[in-house]
Amino acid sequence: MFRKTPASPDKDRGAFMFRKAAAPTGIAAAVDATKIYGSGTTKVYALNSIKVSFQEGNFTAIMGPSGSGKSTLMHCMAGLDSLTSGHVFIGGTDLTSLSERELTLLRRKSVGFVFQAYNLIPTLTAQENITLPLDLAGETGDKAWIDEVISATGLQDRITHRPSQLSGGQQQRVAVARALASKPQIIFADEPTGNVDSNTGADVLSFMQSAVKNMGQTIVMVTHDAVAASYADQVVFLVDGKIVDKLNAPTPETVREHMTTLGA
Amino acid sequence: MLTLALKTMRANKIRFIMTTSTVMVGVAFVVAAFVTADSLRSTFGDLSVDIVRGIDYNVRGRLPFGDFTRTEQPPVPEALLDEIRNVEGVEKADGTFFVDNVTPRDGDGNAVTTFGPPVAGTMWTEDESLSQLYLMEGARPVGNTQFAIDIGTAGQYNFVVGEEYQLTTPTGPRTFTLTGIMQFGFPENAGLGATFSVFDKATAQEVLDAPNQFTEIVVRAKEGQNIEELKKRLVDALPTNVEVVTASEVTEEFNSAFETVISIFQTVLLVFAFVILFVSAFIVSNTFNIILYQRVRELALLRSIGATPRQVRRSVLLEALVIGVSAVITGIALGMLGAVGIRGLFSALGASLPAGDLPLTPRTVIVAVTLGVIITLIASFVPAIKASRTSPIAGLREDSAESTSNRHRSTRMYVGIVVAALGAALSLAGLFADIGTGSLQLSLLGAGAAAVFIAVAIISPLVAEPIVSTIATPLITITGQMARKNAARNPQRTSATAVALTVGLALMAAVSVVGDSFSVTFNERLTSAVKADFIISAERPNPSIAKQLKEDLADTGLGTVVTFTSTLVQMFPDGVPEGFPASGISGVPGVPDSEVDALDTPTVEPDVVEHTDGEPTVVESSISIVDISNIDKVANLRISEGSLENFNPEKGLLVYRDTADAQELAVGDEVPIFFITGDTRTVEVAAIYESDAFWADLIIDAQLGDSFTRFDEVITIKLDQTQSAGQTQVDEASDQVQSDTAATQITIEDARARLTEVTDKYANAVLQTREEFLADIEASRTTATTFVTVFLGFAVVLALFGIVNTLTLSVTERTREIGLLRSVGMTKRQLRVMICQEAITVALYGTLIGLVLGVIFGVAVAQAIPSNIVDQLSIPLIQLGIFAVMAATFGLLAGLFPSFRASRMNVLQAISGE
Repeated sequence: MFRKTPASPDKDRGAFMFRKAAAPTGIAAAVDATKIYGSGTTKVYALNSIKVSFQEGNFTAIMGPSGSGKSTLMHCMAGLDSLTSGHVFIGGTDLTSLSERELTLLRRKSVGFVFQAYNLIPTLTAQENITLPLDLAGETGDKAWIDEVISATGLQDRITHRPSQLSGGQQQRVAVARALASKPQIIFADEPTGNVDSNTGADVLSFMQSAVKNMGQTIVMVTHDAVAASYADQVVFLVDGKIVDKLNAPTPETVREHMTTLGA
Repeated sequence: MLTLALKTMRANKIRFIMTTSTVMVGVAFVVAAFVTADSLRSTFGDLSVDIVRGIDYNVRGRLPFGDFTRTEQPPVPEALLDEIRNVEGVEKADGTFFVDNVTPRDGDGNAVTTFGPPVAGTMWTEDESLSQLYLMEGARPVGNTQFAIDIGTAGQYNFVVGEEYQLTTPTGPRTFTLTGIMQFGFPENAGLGATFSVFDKATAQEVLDAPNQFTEIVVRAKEGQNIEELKKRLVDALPTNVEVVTASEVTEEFNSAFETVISIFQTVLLVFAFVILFVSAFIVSNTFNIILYQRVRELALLRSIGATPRQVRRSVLLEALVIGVSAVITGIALGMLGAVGIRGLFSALGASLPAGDLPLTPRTVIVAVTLGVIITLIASFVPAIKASRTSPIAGLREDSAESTSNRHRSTRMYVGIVVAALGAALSLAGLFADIGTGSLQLSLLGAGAAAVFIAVAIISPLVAEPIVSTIATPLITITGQMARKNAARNPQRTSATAVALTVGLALMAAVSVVGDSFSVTFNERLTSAVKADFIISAERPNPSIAKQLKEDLADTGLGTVVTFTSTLVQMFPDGVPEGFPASGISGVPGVPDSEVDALDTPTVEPDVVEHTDGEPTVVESSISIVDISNIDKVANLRISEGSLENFNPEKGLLVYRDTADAQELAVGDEVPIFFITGDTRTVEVAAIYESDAFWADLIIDAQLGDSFTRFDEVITIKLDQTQSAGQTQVDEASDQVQSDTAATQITIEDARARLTEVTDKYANAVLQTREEFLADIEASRTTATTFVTVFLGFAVVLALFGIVNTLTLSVTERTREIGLLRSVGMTKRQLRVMICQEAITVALYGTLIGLVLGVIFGVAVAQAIPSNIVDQLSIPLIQLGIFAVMAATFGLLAGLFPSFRASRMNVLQAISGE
């Protein structure tokens, strides 16, 4: 529904080809995704022809050392950043063909976000924060679903509190609930536990895990924490803008093993 | 530290420009006020030298009191010329003439008008070397059908030499042939927009109705004469009803007369300048508060790497200094431009000023620099102190919100209440206390108002949150609700931003309340007081109508014609004290008093002079001169004591109630009166009237007073019989049907046509129906209020710069929040709407407080104004509503820049807080 007439025949041909190739494989995908910073001798490949797809109902962790391009990949896939070349798809829509406004509407409807910090609007209550994307779209949303999400956070009695009256972990749970509220096609989480202690982090991660398992959501999470990654169904490892490895059914130990190998 | 201050400013150009420009406009007003006033001073200074070029003395009729600008100045007999020429040491002497109100009509029949300067008739002195008139074209007028006109008027109205023109003179309208074009003063036209019609001596004396007389005799001393000694000889040789004034004294008189006008003008502009600087101070202070709050991490870092609190404070003050200095430099430049603009405005209004310098005196620069820099420094002082108290670990704290603890809140409340009480006390003292001068009262009122505004700024943060939330309640959309919460989230900041707006709006509201109350009071009085069907007044501010017009109007037989004119008198309610006033009595012709030096004449202060040591009172007052036997037909005096029956026109005096009470005058009291012309009469109080519509407090009959005036000021006409549409005539005979008079009935329209035929011959006479006259007066008052409102509007516009500043800073501060909003699906448009709504909310908050304060001020001022000027209270709700709508619209405009800035933010960078 967001597809626009492509700007150039070239692009059109490319998009057509890739759509054919990528569309069947998962709810979100990147095809030949390349992101280059600088030019000439200072050219840096943040993403180098990445090809990846995320399946519906899956919890995926993206790992890699600093500067490996994991955050860039997430930003590009979520439509927050643009690629130098290649394509990213969400639910069959090629994001590279969308205007700024169309991207905004797509984010509002189809993508959920959980950031490391500063996830909530300080002037709004927890409840208002959760329904913010729906309110911005002028929609009431699925009331039963929202209640389910709120009860899953375990914060029913603090729902009218402002973020400053909530603990760090509670704030992050509200952030996850906000991401879930509009039933997006995919949720991107950028180091969601980076700013909280490990017990609280476990709380948040369990909540995310249950959202995938019990509510059928799709979550892609960037992290550098092996324990956090172990909550995911699979882990994708990135080095120098390339996917170098994948791991299914991770445990903290197997994740660390992989990281050590890569880091060398 | 200087480098740091400069770099910070360079990195935030918009903020720097906004902050600087508010102070800049204030400084510009100060500079424009001084430069324009100085320019006028130098122009008038040159002019006053011009008018005495080649002359050492003026000999003129002596006024016993009042100043030399009065038109009543008695003429000097031509016979004195020989006596003066015979005085030893006199080289030359010649008579000259200057009478205001000789109005020429141009070729198209339009009357020549000016914005205020005289439309004068004058004569060419027979001795060319004593004249200030220079022939530019054609020839000097000779004989009683010729005149010359000044070059300025000739150019503006296309007067052509050789053509015939009609002139309305004090003796009535006449036709003259234009023989020449002249210039007053040289090399420039020093007439300042005045119009001169020039005649030869005999013609001047004839048309100006002064046979064998001059208004003054100009005298030149032989070379080497001691000016003071010759003056003594002249005084000795001349009768005491004339005075001898040296050239330098004439210059001084002239300058001081203009200085009065110039200083009023300068004061008005300076008041506006202070209002604007006061508003700027709030904006500067608020801006600094916000930026320092935002830079708390940077300041903490500075502190932790070893900067002392003193150094931090200095760096802040340094930044303020740079802003102040930039504002002063640009403000001076803008002020010079403003002065050029004001000159343009003057000439657009018809008061063409000779192109002189725009002198930027050291005094102007010093005041501008001092005000600009000091205001900025004072405004940044509190923020600087706060900044220097930043603890080195402040940067490590996650959330160092500008929270107001409860203790702070109560302290704030007490301080605010104390300041507010102080302000109220000062204002009330200024308004109601009986303390000498008006300027002291005004200063007290100004200081009081300033204190009240500061109190509002102090208390406002405590009440801002609920008020702002209430104002923004109608914004029910999600963006509206977020805007509402944003406006309420930092009450201190919102308050400080809004108070700048409050100042301007409060003043505007106060002016409109006072103006409206005055209007309503005055309208009611005038409407009930004026019974005439037609009113004829002079077009210019100086109300002079040739007396001939009255007779011409009476000749139409349409109705009763009643003229109003006035002069200045001294009244002695308790009788004339012995030997008082020496000079006043000496002014009476035939009383020789050669002991009295003309210039040592004790002048009586214009106001009521109380002789506290038990001596009798002297009241100097304007006195109206009217045909009292007919006054009932044209005006409703509301006589409350005595009556007009058996009124003795040679002796009767009518007194206004307040004056009668103040001077303890009762019907039947005899009072001596000295006229400014030097004549004395004893009058008897015949009645006391209540009507406030007459500005004069005393009224005498034309039979007694007419000979003391040259012109009529207002002519009123009551038609004998009218069939006026809509207007209810109070006429006792109207019940009876009188068939023979019905035939002579005339409609207002017919009467107007016939009267216009008469008044058209008098170039400066304006004929208005009762309704037109009332509407005209109303309109001129509206103009005055509008003018003040527009100037105060400047302060409001500057306050909007403050909103732009605050919101731009808030947007920067909320970068991450905006990034988050954008990433979860807020469109750019929604973001812009949200920020504009916040701007409108803040603007409305400031407006609301401003209007409330303004109405309170306005009501207080209206109460303080004596009830003979304002006794009704009227709050112009519609106008206040318009102000509110305007402020909201301006708020929206102020929101545009920050909203676009916010919507252009890169979402990704915004979330990561870069």
